[in-house]
Amino acid sequence: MLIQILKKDMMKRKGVNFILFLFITIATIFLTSSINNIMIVTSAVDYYMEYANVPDLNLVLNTEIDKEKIDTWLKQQTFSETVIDYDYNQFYVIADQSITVKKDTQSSKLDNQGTAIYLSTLDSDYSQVFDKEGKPLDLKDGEIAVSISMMKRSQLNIGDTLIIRHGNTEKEFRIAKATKDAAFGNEMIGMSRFIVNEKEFKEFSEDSIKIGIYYIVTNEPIKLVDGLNEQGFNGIMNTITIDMYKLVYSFDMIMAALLILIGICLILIALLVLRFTLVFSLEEQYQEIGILKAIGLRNYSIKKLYLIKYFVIVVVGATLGTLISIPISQIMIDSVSQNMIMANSSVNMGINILCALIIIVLVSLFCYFCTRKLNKVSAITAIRGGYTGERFSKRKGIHLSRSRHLSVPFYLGINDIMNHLPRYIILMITFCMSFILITIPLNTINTMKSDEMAKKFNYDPSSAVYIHKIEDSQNQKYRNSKDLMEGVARVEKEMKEKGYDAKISAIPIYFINYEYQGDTSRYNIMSTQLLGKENTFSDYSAGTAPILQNEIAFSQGIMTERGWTIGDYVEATINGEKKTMIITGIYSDYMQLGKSARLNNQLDCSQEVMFDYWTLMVDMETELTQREMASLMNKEFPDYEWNTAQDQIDQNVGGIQAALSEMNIPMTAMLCAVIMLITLLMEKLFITREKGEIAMMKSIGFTYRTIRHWQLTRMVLVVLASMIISIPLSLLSNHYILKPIFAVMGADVAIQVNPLQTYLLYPGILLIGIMMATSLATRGIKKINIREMNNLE
Amino acid sequence: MECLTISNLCKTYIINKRQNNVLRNINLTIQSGEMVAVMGPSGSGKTTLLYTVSGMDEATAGKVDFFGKELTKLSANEMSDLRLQEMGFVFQQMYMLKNLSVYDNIILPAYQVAKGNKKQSREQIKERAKMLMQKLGISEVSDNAVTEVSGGQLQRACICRSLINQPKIIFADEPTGALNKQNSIDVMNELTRINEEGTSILLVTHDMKVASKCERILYIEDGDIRDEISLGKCHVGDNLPARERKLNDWLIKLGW
Repeated sequence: MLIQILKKDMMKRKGVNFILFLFITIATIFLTSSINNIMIVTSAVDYYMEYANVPDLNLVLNTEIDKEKIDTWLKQQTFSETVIDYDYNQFYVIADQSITVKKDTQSSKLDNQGTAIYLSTLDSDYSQVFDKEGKPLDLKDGEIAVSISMMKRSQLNIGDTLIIRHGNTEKEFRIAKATKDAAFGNEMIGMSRFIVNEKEFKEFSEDSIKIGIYYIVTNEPIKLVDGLNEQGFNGIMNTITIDMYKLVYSFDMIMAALLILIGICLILIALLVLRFTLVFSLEEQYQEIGILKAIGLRNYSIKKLYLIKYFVIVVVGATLGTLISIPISQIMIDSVSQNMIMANSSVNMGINILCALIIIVLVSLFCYFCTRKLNKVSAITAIRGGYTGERFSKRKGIHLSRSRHLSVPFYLGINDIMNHLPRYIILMITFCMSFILITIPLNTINTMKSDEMAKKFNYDPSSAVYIHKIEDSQNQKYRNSKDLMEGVARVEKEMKEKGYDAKISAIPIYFINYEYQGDTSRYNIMSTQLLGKENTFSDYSAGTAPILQNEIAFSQGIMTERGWTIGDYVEATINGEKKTMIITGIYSDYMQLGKSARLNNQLDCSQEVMFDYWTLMVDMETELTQREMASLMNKEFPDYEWNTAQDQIDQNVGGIQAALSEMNIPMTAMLCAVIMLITLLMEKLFITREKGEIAMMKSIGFTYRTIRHWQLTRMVLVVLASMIISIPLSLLSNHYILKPIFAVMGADVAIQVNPLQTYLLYPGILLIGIMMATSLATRGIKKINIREMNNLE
Repeated sequence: MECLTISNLCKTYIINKRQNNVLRNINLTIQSGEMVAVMGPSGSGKTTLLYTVSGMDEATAGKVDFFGKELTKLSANEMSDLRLQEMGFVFQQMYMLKNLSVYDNIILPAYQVAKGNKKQSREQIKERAKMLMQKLGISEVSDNAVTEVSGGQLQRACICRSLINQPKIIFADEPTGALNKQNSIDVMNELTRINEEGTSILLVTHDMKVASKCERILYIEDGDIRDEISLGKCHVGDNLPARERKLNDWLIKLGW
């Protein structure tokens, strides 16, 4: 009998049942495959770091002045067991202009897209590099190995030829291997190393620029970094902990995390829809329930009749979802395994099954919770169809007689919403969730495109165009700001010769030791200096920009971490001399993850070793946009890489913006499809519920068009209300979701919203989808026979 | 003047490949201002006849003329407009929109007609609705929800709604079927008064007392009008027992 009831019930509302089934299936696919991916990637990153023997701490030096002192200090640390082991390795710093790619007969410059290139060899047991299969590299003379991510980014292939000039040496290599490089292989790191064999590495001239890296094995990396800072060794450019490398790999999980979010939203929507259909079924079959109660069936036995149907839908949906999720999980894992070595790159079925079981239990419990209403109804009340008078509270709607201009369909729509607010609130929650979901990528992209974002990365948004690097093919990387500004003058001259009167400004980057007033501790802080123009474009959250030579500004991150305040003094070691400086300003930007210093542009740092320099800003009179200008300059001066502020931001955030932009249309389409399914389902249920009233309206002469208009108006009103409600909710999501994500890079940023796009255009697309779905569902009205008036309660 | 002319009207349902001829070649004419009752045993086709001639259901064959308009040739929208503007309906169950007050239910069809119709302003509609409610004695429940009034009051509200657009004919399907004796009398008195004012009425009933108030009674059996009797125009306060006796005798002859 139970099977017969179930079969009948399944067939009765097959459309609604199918949509519910679809939601459960899709949600299971998203949740199980994404959770599987995140769990596997998390454990795989640890395995990969261990496999490649990435040390706990990497200490990067740009000069070997204090190498002996550092060695001695590290040896001392081994006695106190703070340092377990360490090794030292050297990389050559290769200028962008110094690499030529030869493909067949064509030669071109390497398109490194802002990544710093280093030449290295395999002479350390730490931070090892492997081939695609995870085997150690064996490179012959004339062979070079490049990381997989770099090959993808620069469109290099095995067999291509690279000509590398460094110092007085020029050598030609054939790309023999694509490598998996745990430490420098991820594009988010912004560094990539090209590997040659030891013999050829040594053939590069000794006078070439190189960086040194200490690989340190320690149980206390933070304590060690603090200790190093306090020593104030010269030349320490950066310290990278293993956790930072791991964090970089976690960006591979962003897509999986987004899918989990969508999966959770789908489950929530499925629960809302389930509650609606379940309560609706209970109300519709009130009298039948009464009869069952009257003949002595217990509450649980009656509930079972309803629950079994949803249990079957959930079990079948979750099972199908799990089966589909297995190949999807495998695809996701395969994509991750391209960039790392994994112990086991097959799907952990257990995770998928466990997720599916959790979904089944959760949904079943929720259904049981929804049937509680049945306990409260007595047999006689149910038999009477609820007509005890108690079910009818005071009318909440508006009076048609009191409205002057409302059309009948419009009035009926508003009146319905006001009378059954909880029912429509469920729909509004669903719509609001979709609207908010759609605003997240839009606001992220808008924020990334904003002037404020450019300023956070130290780019003047009003500049005409930007140049990435200006070393010419004869030059090695610039060692100090004097070399850099000579290069700037050269480029300005080249531009002037072609009729472009431009002023180029540069930001050299130094790592400078600071001592706080009266304190013996030293702090190695990345410091920048804007040369070539007044620092007018940068914002300061407190105080002012350093105007005099002895003035300095620190980022909020440094000021908070160290407990410094404006007006305090610090002693900086610049050009080998100690200079006392007063803190005049606090700012917040993304340089060095929000921990940096800004020096005054009059301060002479020409002898200070420069770690690197930031993208150059070109100011000139032009009517062209940055994009047009970059395109023009790339044609006029093809030796340099000309970019827009957006290109620069993109390089810094690892192409997230492009990925989000690509995702925008599929995500909108997917959301639109989901929301259309929900609307279709809800509208079908509304029509089923209102069959009697619709038949009655038809009988007294209301046309199909008028009734359809009523249904459509009601849904549009719900959507419009949801659009309005979602505006403040979206602002909250900006504050509590997006802001913390941007803050990971080291600074707060005001989330940019394009109101027309975010609150009108995209929700408008969803509105059109909802109207289409409603129109589709209301076609069922035509089939309602006037005799179905008898269904009226 | 002929209000409704029905010629060779047939209605056939096909259920499980079996043909069921519910109406067979019905020929009937209802004059303007006439009040006609249709009686007959259950399943004889009374309600189907009412639904088919009022355009709520489609005829399988035959012709229905309503003041010269051939209903069977009208499109669904034209038929809806006609029902809304020129016909009124009263059903056995008091079908109303439960989210609306009694008053709003009554004015709803008129507001729909008034859309784009300058002749009838919303104020005029409200005045007419108030007048009708006063006439039918339900003014005091006008703002109540439909679930808060008695069956008799609700049926009178349904009559108000059916009259709001000043129809030429009212179709009533067992209008007193769900009411107690006193409410039935009240409702029938109202229908009689409406008919006296010139509105034609075609009603279906099982109740002899209800039918006795009609000018003409048709007896339908197996989808065919077997016989009819004319009792003459009934006025409020007429000698009803005599009309009832005559009707009873006629029905007994027909095997009622």
